[in-house]
Amino acid sequence: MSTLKTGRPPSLLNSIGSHCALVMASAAALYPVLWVVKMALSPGQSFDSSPSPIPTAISFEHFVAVTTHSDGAGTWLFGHQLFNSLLVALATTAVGMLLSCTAAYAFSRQRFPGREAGLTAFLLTQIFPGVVMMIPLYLLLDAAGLLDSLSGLVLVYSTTSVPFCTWMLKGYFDTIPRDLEEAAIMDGASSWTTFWRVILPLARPALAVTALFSFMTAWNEFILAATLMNDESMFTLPVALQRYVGEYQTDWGSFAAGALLVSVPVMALFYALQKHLVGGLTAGAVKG
Amino acid sequence: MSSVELDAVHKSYEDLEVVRGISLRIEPGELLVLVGPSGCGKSTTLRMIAGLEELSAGELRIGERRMNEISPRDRDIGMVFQSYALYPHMSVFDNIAFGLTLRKLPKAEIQNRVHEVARMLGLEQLLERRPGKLSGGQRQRVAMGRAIARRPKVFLFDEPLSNLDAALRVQMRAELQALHARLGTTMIYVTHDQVEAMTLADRIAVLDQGVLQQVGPPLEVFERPANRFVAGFIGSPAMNFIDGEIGTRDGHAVFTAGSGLEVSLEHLDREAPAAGSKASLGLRPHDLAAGDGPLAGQVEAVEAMGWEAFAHIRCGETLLIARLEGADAANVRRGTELRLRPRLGRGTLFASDGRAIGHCRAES
Repeated sequence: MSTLKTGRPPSLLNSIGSHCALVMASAAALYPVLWVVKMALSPGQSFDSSPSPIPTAISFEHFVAVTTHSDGAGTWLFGHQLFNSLLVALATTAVGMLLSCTAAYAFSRQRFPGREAGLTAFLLTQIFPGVVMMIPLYLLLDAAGLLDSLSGLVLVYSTTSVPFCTWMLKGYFDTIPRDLEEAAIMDGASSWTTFWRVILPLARPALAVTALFSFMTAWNEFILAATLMNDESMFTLPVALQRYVGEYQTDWGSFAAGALLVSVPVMALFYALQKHLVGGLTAGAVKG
Repeated sequence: MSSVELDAVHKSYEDLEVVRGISLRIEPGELLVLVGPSGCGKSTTLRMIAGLEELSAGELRIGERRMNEISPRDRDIGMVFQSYALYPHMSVFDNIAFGLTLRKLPKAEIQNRVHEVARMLGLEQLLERRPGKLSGGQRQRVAMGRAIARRPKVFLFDEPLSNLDAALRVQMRAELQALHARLGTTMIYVTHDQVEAMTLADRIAVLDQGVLQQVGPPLEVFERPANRFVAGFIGSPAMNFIDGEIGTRDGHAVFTAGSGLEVSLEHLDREAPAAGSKASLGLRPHDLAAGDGPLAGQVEAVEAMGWEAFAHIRCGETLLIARLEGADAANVRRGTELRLRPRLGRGTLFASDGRAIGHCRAES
């Protein structure tokens, strides 16, 4: 049970003040999003540039255009790209979680040669932005024949997500008392059983946060995907969106509609996991 | 039911020697309490028996079988941790059943055993609850239930009552005793609380700085401590020590101390050391009585317990604690002078190296 430190209810003036501040902050955060919605819903390229975020006319033509986009040969590109995005994001999450939760457990509990060096190396990889590694990654994938392939992209994303997830999960595993593992050992559990039946279920909040992060990073990533993918049918959705931003003109309506569609799965995931998220983000902060 | 035998067991962490050659045999069905101050190596010893720590040297045998290289899960030991270490994501039922499911017992058998244990420990109403929704005492019982359900050969308890409040501790102590009587399993119990040790144990093993100081039935350890450490550690309040030397009066050995104290060693169960040798006399608080005696000093503190009181009296360098009864207990005041006399034929005589020379035991 958590107890808040508020000894007495806040005064009316305080309450009004804090609500005003919150409303203003929410409006500032929501205003650009509402503008995107307005752009997506306005027919043609005719959205008015007044400050109001409410569209004057409503049409779903941009959504239809984006979702039914096909190439000359009749291939349904949007479908392909959605599938690519989902596959890459899910596979990155799966690979990332599988490798990082086992690695994090070992880093947290075992003492082995190279432990410190390994942890530091994992941290170092997080210092460099992905763009810095673009050329070496391109050359590596080219040498491995994995350019323009989804598995290549998953591999690239996993290299950044595994170290991050390992650190996140190690931090959480560190807070799980060792007594629990020792109790399980005394109960007759093997190391694997202890990990699978005692530690992992307890780490659920951290697993949820880490999985969500992996998924989001892979789902939203643009630069690496744009560099490594050439064939339009192999694009992920963020790369496909770029098509609407042309050299001479930009199809703002479709761009906005695409952006909204791309953000739906992430929002849905957030919604589904929010209960775990709160627990995960504050995990380890308070014990008891 | 199995015996547990430690043979010259050592444990060191790098340069730090925590357990220095403990040899001890725990008989089948016995309840042995390992007691000592924190850092004395008692928990480490228990963890070595459990297999959670490796032995640095020596041998551990359970039921005459060498266990040094056997993994903890194959030792057939049940352990209750100080923190209880209940699995927070499992119900009470699943906590108790965990070890049984791992051993792939048939479902019906698991049901039977969990319910039997729950009945024994009064947990029947709580089987569906998670540990987070239980009180301290209930968690303690679940932790015991989890160890019992597997019917191991040996039970280990690592300070299981130290997180409970005083009243609950007394209750759980009684329940543990009843449990031991009922199960008859070999139990090794670690505590720093000498009251727990005295009340629970068949035998007490007192540890200090990784060395076994004395092993014996509680009363024997209390009445005949092997050295000053044991004498000071077992018994509450602690034993008083008065430094002095051996003298003679009328051909009999006596213990004399600076303040004019002279205690006859007539009832000493060993031969008294030669006259003139240094020694100290250990007197329990109940071996001192108020009255006309050679020990006089100012009362520094009074712990009134109702029908008795412990008075702390400053006699020169030494602080003595005396147990007063009845009118003496009611009348004693802080800051007043009090005279004390040792009860006839009581006390333990210690050599200057701390070893007990002998015990005075007059029939009373």
